[in-house]
Amino acid sequence: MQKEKIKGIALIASIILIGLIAQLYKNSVYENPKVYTIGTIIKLSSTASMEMQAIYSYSLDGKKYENSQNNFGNQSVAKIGRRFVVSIPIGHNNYGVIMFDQPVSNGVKAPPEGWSELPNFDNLK
Amino acid sequence: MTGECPECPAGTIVLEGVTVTASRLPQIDYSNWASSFNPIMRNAGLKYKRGDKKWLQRAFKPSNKTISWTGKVEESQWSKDFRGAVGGIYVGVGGAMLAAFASPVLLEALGSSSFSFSGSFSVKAIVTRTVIEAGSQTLVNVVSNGASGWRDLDVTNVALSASGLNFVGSSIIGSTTRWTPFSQNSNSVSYLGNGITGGQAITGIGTSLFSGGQRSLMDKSSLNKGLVNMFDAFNHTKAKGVGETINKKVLNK
Repeated sequence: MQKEKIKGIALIASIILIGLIAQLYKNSVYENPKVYTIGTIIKLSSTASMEMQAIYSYSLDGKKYENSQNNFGNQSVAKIGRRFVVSIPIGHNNYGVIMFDQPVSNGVKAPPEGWSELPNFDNLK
Repeated sequence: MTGECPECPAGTIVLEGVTVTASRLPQIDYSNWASSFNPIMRNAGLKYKRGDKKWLQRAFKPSNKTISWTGKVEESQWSKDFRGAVGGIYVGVGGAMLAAFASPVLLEALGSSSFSFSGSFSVKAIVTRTVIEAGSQTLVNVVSNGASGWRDLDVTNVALSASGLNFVGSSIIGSTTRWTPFSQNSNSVSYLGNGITGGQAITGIGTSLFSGGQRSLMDKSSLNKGLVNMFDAFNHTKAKGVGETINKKVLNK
């Protein structure tokens, strides 16, 4: 019985451990230098754990990517069709993070390889 | 019979005979269901063994008793859903339905006897609870957000479900925190006031106290509430036993 309990605890600990490893990997990905491009919100959704999400698409080096981000606190700006700057860790194009505080007007186009620095749109207009 | 018949002779019409047919459920030996792996079937079997015919009647009997011109009894949605679930894999009705039945379906699909629905701390029981929680979450996320939806797995809820600790504290933790380490975005940890609204947390606490978190999945679905309550009760039985929960939450006794 005691053995079974220990196995059970080990099993739950391993679930948490797998999560921690995934988290550490992700943290290391986001420490990479970034490039910036433009993403467009294509869908607002919710996960099984009731997380409100904005799903957005962006392109880099001619390839299209989709990702999602919790839009809590940004519901008023995170609307379908709106465009924002997306910051992408170099070498991990799938991990692009939408920046809700960096809206982009419709006339602006990003270079295919993205910007190497956070763009200043006043200069681009 | 009433109605106008201009060509009929006046007076009483004597009909030689009227046959009304209605569809019948097949004769099933429900006692075998008590040992079924499917929790829905198992609980129906337990009800049968305990002689609770009323419950079984309610489960299988159509609520609408009118006989249509086609001679078939209109089947209630509740009954349809129930029989769909009992029948095994219920697909083609959309993501919501699929999600609601995810738990038994997942386990049946795995077709293994290495699962246990007991609330114990055995490896079998922990694996079962993990599969149910992670599988249900993944299914809902994939249906709503596409193939990459698996990345939105909330590990907090998986770990809490795996522990089988259906107590107030676990409900509060599960409803006020969210940890999605596999997601490809920077904010993988959310908590009350930072990614989770008070309303969401209260809903989550209320429902998970009862169902261990599964209720929130089903509230998103278009299932009728009777079935949701029933399924909830089955989830609850993972830790708390069958009888009282069914009575209180399904039959409102």
